[in-house]
Amino acid sequence: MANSPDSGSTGSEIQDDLKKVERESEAKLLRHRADDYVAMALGVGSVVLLWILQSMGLY
Amino acid sequence: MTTQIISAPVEATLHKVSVWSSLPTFKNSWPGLLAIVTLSVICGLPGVPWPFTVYELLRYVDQVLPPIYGKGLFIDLLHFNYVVIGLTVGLLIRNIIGVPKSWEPGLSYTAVFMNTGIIMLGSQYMLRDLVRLGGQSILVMVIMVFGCATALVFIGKLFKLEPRLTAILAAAFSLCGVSAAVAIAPMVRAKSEEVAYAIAALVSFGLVCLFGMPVLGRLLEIPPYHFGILSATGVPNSAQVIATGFNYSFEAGKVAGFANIGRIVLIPAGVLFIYFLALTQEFKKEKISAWVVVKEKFPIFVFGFILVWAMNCLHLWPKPATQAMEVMMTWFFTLCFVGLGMQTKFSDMMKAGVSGIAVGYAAGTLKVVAALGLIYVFWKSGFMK
Repeated sequence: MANSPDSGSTGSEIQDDLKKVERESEAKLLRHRADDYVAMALGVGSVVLLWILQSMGLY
Repeated sequence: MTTQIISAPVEATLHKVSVWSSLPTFKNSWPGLLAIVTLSVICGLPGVPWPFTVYELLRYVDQVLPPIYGKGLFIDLLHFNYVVIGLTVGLLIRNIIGVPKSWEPGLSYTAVFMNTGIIMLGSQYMLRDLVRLGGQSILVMVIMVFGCATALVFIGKLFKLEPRLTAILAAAFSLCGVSAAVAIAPMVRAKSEEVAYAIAALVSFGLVCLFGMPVLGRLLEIPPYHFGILSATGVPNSAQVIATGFNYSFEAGKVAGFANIGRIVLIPAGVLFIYFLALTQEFKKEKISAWVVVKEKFPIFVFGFILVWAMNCLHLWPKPATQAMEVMMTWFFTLCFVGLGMQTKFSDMMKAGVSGIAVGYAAGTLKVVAALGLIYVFWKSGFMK
């Protein structure tokens, strides 16, 4: 368990790891944002498509 | 003179990464996406008249096998529905056969399918539903999110856990699973192994909830509406919340999806709350802007849900179209469940180790029991009907 992760690590190793976590977090947040946009396009797009089909009498 | 002096803000803008660059290209993603769609059809997409599905096969086996107490083994007793089948098939493929590397980019779109399903869920609710369900679920969510976070930070301090690990576990289990753990990690200067431990513990606990909580719900005869709220409050990860709800019943799944919106909206506030609650001298070195946290971490797809819901409230489409949207919503959720199964590695869960699993499961169980107690009190007092 990571109760004492600092033990055995040098200062630069710790800094590198912190930077890595920060980079990964930023990348993940960016991906979340992109996923949000794609989901909005898909979700709202599907609903609007069904709406158009219905207004054309195809549904 | 061609040399240009670039000022600091311009340089920052030049280095700003486009949101779209984080998405894998279609060329890289299509094998994984095709695998998800094909497996979903094989498992049994609701509303698709395709007879050769795993669901139909299990129904046939139930007819051939002698009934147990007059019921079929797979469908009636073990409640194998499209959620369980999709997840199980996905899990078996990932952990027994293995998933080709070329599928990974496509599988990463699982969250998109979940968010799309949630957006389409807006077509299933009217204003009166939102007023009734919204008030109750928001109250339960606020109590559970902030109460659970406070309890976990207190327990972490009591057992002298690393404040960073306490903060990540509190975010992961009281807020929204992986998203919250990743969001708070740089704020509390967490180590990568601590993030990995917390994620492994919560994914593992969520998987147990996904298959175990519907059994508990049936034993306690919890109504679908209450079970949906219980899923959204007790299960740590969003995709697992919705899968747990739909595993119980369709109605419970819809309520779980709706109530989960309340939880993900609370991510920015919850992250800040845990940050200040678990604050130590070490954390104080970091300067945190509350506005930046809210802006960066707010799940904007919720606006899609609000838009679809508003269109439904205005009666823009009649019942047949709403029913078609319900079917499409189920498809997106099914794609999400199959993708979730194919993304879950048992070997990753082992990374948490015995003590990591113990801490995570203790935190998760505490939350489920607290949620169950709170919902029971609300239910019996008549506040939640």
